Amino acid sequence: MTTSAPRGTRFVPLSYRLYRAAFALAFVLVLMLVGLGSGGYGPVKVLGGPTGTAVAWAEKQMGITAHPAHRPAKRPAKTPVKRAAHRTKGSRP
Amino acid sequence: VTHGSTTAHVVVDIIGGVVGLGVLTALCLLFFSLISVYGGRLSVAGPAPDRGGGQKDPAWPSYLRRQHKLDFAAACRSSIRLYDKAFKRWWAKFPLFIITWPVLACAGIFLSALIAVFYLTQLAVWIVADVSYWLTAGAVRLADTTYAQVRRAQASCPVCYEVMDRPAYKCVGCGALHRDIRAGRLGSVYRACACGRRLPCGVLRAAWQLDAACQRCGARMHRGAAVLRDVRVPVFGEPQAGKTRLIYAGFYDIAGRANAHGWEACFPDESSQARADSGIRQIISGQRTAQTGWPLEPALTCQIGRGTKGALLHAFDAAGDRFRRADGHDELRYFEDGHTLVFVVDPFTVPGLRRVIAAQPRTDLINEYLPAHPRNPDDAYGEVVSRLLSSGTRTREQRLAVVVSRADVLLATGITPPNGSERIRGWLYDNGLHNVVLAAGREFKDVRYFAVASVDGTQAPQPYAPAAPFIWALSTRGFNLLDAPADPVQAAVPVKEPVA
Repeated sequence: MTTSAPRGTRFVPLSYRLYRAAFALAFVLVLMLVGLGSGGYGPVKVLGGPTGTAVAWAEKQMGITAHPAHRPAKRPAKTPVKRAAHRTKGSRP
Repeated sequence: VTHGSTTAHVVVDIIGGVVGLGVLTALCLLFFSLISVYGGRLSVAGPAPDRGGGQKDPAWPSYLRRQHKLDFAAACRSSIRLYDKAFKRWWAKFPLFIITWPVLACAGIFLSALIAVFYLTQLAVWIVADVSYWLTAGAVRLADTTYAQVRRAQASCPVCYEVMDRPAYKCVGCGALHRDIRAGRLGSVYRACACGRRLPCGVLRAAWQLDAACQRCGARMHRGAAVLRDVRVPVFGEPQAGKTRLIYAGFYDIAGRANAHGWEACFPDESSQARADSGIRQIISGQRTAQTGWPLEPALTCQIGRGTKGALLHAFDAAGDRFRRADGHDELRYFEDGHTLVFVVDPFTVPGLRRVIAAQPRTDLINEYLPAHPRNPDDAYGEVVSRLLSSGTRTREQRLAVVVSRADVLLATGITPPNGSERIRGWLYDNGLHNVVLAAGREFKDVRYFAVASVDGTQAPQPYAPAAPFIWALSTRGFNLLDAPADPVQAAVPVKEPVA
């Protein structure tokens, strides 16, 4: 007996749904693991931050340690402190 | 480009941005494809047969056999189609293509890489799932095979007499026949019928949950066939030797004994129940049993016990005239697959006994049972067994019960049949059936001799119980009627009390 469902049938056996979910989930997990393994933030990096990752990688390859905009802000110069006039000689270290 | 200059940073950031957008685009394309394929309809019809023609049953093959490849191919096709379409969008036209084309070019490279990763992931999951699948299927199959061998379980069609390892099973949803319900390509624990109904895999479970049908003729078979012990008892002998009466009386006696020992006994199909009701009614009322007609009837089946401890006892009856004619014998296929053959001997046709009875003063009883032109039982035995041997039946693997019927009538004429197989054997030997006795011992694996009174078992003179040959046939197949089940049950479907 060779009954066959019409092409593109709506009915999908439960086992097919479960297997499909398993295959898709496995792929997403692999991508997440790749993201984690590359030293980033896993799914955030994979799904949201590839641009930043690529930029950082390219900068590193070209020997540019940091973009001016990425550099930490310089500490403000210390204001010179006037020596107190009343300091006595004996107080110096 | 000078390291550390602002221009270099701008160039690098642009390149990085293009690459990053390409990665994002590739991910989006693949995820859209996966969602549309894996969350949607099937790309190809499911329950169609395999190309090799190995699949006959109208069921969906396991996802791991075929559909996973089709889904993967469909996802790849879908993502490539989306990728192609992207070049035709408005944002891929002049002048934006200066940005979008490099992005799409990067996306194409990453899409290929992602598809490769997806393929490797699929392969790894498929290997793990397939190994688990076949381990499970192997365990289910092993359980089926081991059970069938240990319990000697087979299925026999009561209509066409075909004997098979497993029957076909009907889907409870659409009625389609599944001819090979074993665990395999269509499922390891369950299978999905073409109509979508979930069916159990393996004979051990299907036998109780699905309606069985004959593989050859499609006739309905008994619930539990191929799991219950199957005991097949063909009965033969001269016309009016008492074959049919022996079957009814014997089965009625067996049902009574089974119930007394805590077994559930019933006639599991309508045909058997109707014929048993009629036949037992004649036994109870003391009427003579009507002569069996030429057309073959389905086997008379009695089920004793239920579940895996039960047994199906089939008795095959045919008109005595069939054993005299070659054309009548051709249809008696059940002899080849019978476990214990029952040869019924009318004591009034045994030469030595006939002479003794004929010498007595004539009474109504003697006139009724003493045939005017008797035929030696030797002839019937010789005709049946020679045809069996010539057809290639291995009678050395079968057992034979030689049953002297009408012990009650013999007692009434003053002749007391002996008790015990060896004594009956000697008694028949001395009275002219030496050919049968000698040939039977040579041609069959085991031969037992019985003398029975085919009357109501409760009134049968001891030790001439009509159930004796059938109880022996059951015991040779490992079913001992006297071994009550551990948890005795009251008969849920009791043998119908005959109407007086």
